[in-house]
Amino acid sequence: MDNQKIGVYVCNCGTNIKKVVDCDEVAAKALEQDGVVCAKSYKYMCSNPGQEMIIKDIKEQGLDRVVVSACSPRMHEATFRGALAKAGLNPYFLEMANIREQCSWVHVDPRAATDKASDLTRGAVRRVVHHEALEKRFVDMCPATLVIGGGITGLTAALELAESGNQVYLVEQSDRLGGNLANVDLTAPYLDSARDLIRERILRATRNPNITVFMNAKVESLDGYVGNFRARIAADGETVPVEIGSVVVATGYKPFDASRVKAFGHGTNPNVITSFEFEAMLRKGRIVTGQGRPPRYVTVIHCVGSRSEEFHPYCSRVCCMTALKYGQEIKAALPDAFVYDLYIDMHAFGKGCEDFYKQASEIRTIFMMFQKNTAPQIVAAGPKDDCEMFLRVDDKLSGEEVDIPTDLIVLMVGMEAREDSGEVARLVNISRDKDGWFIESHPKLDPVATTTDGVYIAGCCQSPKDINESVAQARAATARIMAKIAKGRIEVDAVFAEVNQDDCSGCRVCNDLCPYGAIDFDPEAKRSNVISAMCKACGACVTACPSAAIKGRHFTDEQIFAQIEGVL
Amino acid sequence: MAVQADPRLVAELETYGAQDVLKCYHCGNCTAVCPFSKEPFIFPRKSMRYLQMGLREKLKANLEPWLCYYCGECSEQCPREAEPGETMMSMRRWLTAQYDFTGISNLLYRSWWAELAGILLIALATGFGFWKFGTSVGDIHVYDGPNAFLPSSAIHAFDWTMATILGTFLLVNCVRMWWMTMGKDPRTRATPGMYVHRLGQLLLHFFTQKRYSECDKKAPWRLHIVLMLSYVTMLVLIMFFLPVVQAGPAINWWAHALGYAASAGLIVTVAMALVGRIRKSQTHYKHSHETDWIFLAMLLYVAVTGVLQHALHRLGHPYAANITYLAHLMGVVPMLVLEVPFSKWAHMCYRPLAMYFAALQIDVMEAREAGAVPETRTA
Amino acid sequence: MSQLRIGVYFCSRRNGASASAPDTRALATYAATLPQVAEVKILAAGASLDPAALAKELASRKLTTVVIGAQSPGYFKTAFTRAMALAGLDPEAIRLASFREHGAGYGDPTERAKAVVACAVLDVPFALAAVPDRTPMHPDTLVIGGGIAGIQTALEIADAGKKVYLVERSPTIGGHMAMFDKTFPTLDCAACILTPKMVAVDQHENIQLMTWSEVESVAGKPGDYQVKIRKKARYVDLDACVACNDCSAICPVTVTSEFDSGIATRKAIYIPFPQAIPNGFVLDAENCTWIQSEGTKCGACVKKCSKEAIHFDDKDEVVEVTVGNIVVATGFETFDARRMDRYGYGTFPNVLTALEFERLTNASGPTGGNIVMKTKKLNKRTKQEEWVFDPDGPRPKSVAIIHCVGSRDRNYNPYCSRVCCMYSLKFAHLVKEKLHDAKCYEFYIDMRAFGKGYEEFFERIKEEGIHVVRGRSAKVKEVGGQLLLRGEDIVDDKVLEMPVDMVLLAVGLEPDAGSGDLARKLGLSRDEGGWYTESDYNIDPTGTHRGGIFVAGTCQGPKDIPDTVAQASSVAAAVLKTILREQGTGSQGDVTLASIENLARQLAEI
Repeated sequence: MDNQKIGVYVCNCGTNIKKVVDCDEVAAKALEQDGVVCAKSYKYMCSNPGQEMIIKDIKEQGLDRVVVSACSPRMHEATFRGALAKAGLNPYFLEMANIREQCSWVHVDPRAATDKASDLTRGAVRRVVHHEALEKRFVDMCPATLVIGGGITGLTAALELAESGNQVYLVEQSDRLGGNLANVDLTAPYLDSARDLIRERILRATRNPNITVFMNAKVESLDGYVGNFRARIAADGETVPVEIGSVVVATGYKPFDASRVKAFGHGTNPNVITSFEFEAMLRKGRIVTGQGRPPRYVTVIHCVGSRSEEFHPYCSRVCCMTALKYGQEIKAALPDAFVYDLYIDMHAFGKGCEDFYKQASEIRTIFMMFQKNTAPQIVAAGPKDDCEMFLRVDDKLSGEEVDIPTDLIVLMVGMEAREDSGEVARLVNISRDKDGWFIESHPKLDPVATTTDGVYIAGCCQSPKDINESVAQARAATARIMAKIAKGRIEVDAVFAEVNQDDCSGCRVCNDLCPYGAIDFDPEAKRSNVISAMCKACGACVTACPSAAIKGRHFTDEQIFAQIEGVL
Repeated sequence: MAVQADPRLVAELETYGAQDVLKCYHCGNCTAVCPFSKEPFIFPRKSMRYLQMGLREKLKANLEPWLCYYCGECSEQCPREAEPGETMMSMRRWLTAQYDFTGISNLLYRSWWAELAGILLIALATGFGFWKFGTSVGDIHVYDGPNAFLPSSAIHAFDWTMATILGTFLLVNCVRMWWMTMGKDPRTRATPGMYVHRLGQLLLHFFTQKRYSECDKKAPWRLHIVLMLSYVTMLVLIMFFLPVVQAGPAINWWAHALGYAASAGLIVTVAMALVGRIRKSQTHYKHSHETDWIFLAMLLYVAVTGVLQHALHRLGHPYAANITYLAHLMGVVPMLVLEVPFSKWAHMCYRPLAMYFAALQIDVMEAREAGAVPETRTA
Repeated sequence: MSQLRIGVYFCSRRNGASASAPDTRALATYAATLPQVAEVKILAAGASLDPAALAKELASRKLTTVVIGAQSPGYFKTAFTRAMALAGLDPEAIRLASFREHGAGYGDPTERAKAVVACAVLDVPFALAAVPDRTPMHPDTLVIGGGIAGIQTALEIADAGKKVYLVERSPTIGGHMAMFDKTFPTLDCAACILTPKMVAVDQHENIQLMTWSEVESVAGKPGDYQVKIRKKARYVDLDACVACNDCSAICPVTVTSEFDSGIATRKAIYIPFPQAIPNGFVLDAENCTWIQSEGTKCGACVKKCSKEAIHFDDKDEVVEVTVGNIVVATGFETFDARRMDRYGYGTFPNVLTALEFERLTNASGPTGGNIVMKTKKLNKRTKQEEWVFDPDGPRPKSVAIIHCVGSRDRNYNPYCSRVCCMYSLKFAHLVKEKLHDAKCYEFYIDMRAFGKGYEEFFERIKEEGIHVVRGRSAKVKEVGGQLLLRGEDIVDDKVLEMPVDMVLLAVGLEPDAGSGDLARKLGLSRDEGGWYTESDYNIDPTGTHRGGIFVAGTCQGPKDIPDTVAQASSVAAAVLKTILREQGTGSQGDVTLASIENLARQLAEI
């Protein structure tokens, strides 16, 4: 090992690292390490010239190990591994020391920071010595896909894949396709027909030979790994096993239960209804009060259950435009009725929406602003009043407490995660945020992928969304799947855990420990095995194994200890 | 204590010209650009809100529409084309109707047929009356001196009777304005001392329209002050020096010079205003209510016929002069009768009064903060 | 199927024919010829319908079903629904013939509208009947625009092993996102998450990157487009250039830097920013002394360059590529704040636009991320005093952020720019983070925090002590060198006259200046705001009526990064779909009335 040639590259990251850490010193110190034949500091190692520098040195000085002290490996490890590969070196002969996130960004004292950077670098140098050449591996990609949820998102995902010539299993829990959108009459802001929209999707899906639809169905189990999942679908009393390569979760949302907001007395007051109940009225063409007569005054209240400390902190994104839509529809059905619209902030952000908001004013919807975390209060009407009740609003805009006459109150209920979202999350092994929405692998640059390869989330199960945003996500998910199908095989990271069969005692401690269900147990041999394609190399099993039979590739004990010694 | 919203008020104000008030989404831009919008009088946004919400009583007690001179800045910059300036204008029309106890004003503003009919009726009555009178006391071929068709002494007497009657109407309306804006609400009751102390304000604003001159745009104020001063001069000449002005043959320059100047001022400014409204040359000319047209048209008519009858008399055509004079009177009388207490003309009193009351309300507020006025009255 | 009596009613909201308005009379005559149609009627334009009267009419004509034909029939539907209910008919038996929704804009509006009516009468979803022909399919793809949308689409397609040409007008990819400091609401640094993707594009074997290039012309048909691309003379040989910066160091010409949105300078030969991709220099011919003097003056950089990478004889080059699909991702530019003189942008030095502040607060920006005020400094070369950002200049003690500058305003852009609220909150956070005791104010109309984690971010900002004032401030004055801001606080009912040291204008988004020109080349339509029109607002937000041409990201309408990325990926899906089945789809505009009607009749049978 002494004859190794290690190159150390210290990145300044513009000023991000340099402003606190003396990069030249770190490089100089590194050069003192045994095995280190060259150590350089450069403004952006990740930039092309930076990488060229490494490649050149590998070729000319015959480096066989490379240490890059820069940002978090999450950021650029792939970049530098690429550089090594280009230079004909095994990419796993790279080690990164994180001197940005874990040093320059969190420390102010240059001296101490510089020393820490040097220590981290030394650790990396010691570690890289023990690195082994690892080879990337490939698994097959099954072109079939399982889509969970038959709403607009699920339907769209299924159609995209099916129309590209691939098998899709569409699982719908209820007895009809279309999801929540099937209960909607018109869509905002152009008042296009939701019925036609969803009907078109359903007709397409049911007529497409590539799509197998399971109604009243449930996914019982899902195992396997990206490209090679096995699912069991329970439908009409029987269980159907399917082989799929990918899973799209499009389970959607559930409307907020308005009766939880005591102030409005939904469920007890017949003249207080939810947006979904109102939608049904609109479809029937019978907009009536609890007393069965057409209302003179209709009041629409926004943000019921949304944007509140008591219920959900988030905005449900679609209610504002739906409320404006109701204004239009009420005026069309009851030309003489007055419409009050009580909002907190008018979220008319989509294409055409601000104009839709203005139209609402032009048809004489009367807008009232109320404050977050306050609720308008219902006041009984007197015998002389021509309305069922009054709503008392603290109208900041006029500085008055105003009673507005009301016959019918429509509550714009927000979206919330379905009760079974936890169950689904466990089934497909993805995580949920505090509100119960599924978590994407990156909030900005990877909104549809999840922590489990081959499992994608789309639509409102990830967070509230409008139709077009859900559809876009549905397609985004299918893009990933099509890419894999097109390639026919999937590259698997060479870093994973291995069970030394001779040392394994078959105690099965690791089996339940693995968060990715990547370890299965061979009853005959009484040995556990790691399914490398599913292993995320978290190391849980490695540390837990009582007989030290499990080795984490690229995270071997000697590598770790060497690094620790180096740092100390 | 909560106030009740009346969604019908918006429709009511539409007949007074406020077409776009519901478009306002309360960005506050208008209030911020208005040079007059200072605490405690923050407008026009808040007044727009009273209207949107249909807070009738708040709007009645509201002085702010009178504090606005419609320079148009707010309307030009409004992101929603809610026309705050025009809305304030319409509120002034509406308030004029609210102050008026007879309900005539309301009728004139809401139906322009009623206004035309009114004018016609009064015009004919006047014409008929003076014809009968003229032919009974004199000769249509004689303009002045003995046996004159319309002797200045008689006209003079008529003017004063009419002035007294109209004045009374206007006075009552002004008192009602006071009650709605100052008297009704205990929080705005000022002490007699304050009233005396601020009296200067009233006169100042009446004669100079000082506040108008503080707008960023000056031209509208110049036109308005010339128009108004000419109008007043003419009024004074007629009310007090009619014999001198009307009688001849000798020219009495100290009176006539004023007269000529005033008539010229009237005709020019009114013509300019008319052209402006026809061309919609400026923001405050964009929207014209029927009453705006009638007011200007009659003013022009009266001025022109006035000058004409005088000229004819001077040129020695007593017969023609008398006929024109009759026509002149047939314009003057309906104009004064309708405009003075019931319509646009009344703002000549309401505006300065509003300034006066506004100043008083500030005094009251300061006094209360200083503890001079016992809190119990504010309860 | 039971015999129906269908009434076809044509409605319109405002009279006055627009370009895409079909000829209603012709439509009515056509509708009468369709099966089961018992009544055809044209209702007065702009008239508000009286459901009661309608009900009587429907009953008297013994209708069972109603078809509403209009640009947006939804506006009339509820009236008819109620009328049906009042007349005791099935309120659900209403079908909409939406001309706008189904592309009355393409081809002959009347023919198109006829087809839409036919489908409604036959109760067949229009999209099922209006099926463009399948076309042969070239597997390569052209992506126009190298911002985050273009990058994402290119990577998604290339990862599937398919060839992509990525054309970018400027010298580097990265777009606006590369200029940003942090991204809301997670506050991770924009460059940190973007540069890996940029590098990936550069290293991807399936992506041919053409920066400093523009689309010259587009010929051909769906599935087989011939695109001429002009590669502008860069004067620097990218293969030779190692970005050593020697040329730039010696270049005597200084001009304002586009990448630093004008708050810093660059040389005539320059690299937009250190991580630029491709990582090579470019020479700006308009400002280069050598080029302008036709080789008689300067030329310092050529002498300096040890790699001999600079060639003044470099010429524009036009290459032609054949592709099956074209993805337009040309993005946005920001509203020119000079148009709103009341904020004094361009007059008062410390009134800044959003992009200027992004650079100012950016760690790799001209002040190294120090938020400072502009100060007067003597420019040694021009011997003139200039307002500049000096990294050690005075820090503002109070910063006001004005929302909706140029947005939600009939005098400028009526639409909401969607991202300003959130980036303004982000600015407020950055100001507080870097200048702890500075006061910071947000002047807003509606706080549009609608995304995942956005509302929570808003709450966090308030806890950080930022003053959020409801009411868009209206005026910025300067009194004795002190900025004075006047606005109304509509909630607390106050007129505010406050002195502030710095004003940030949350300028809205506008389509890229070149998008009109590109629309003509590609035959795309744009809305009144200038944004590309999608083929269907709800179900196909990234398709266009031209087969094989897609739009992604902000060129279709303002969008934040997650929505842009989702769209970009979804476009990739649409493209991959055609590649996988080796068939493209023709243009919606080319589908004939006859074919739609025939297919609709067939489908109606089933």
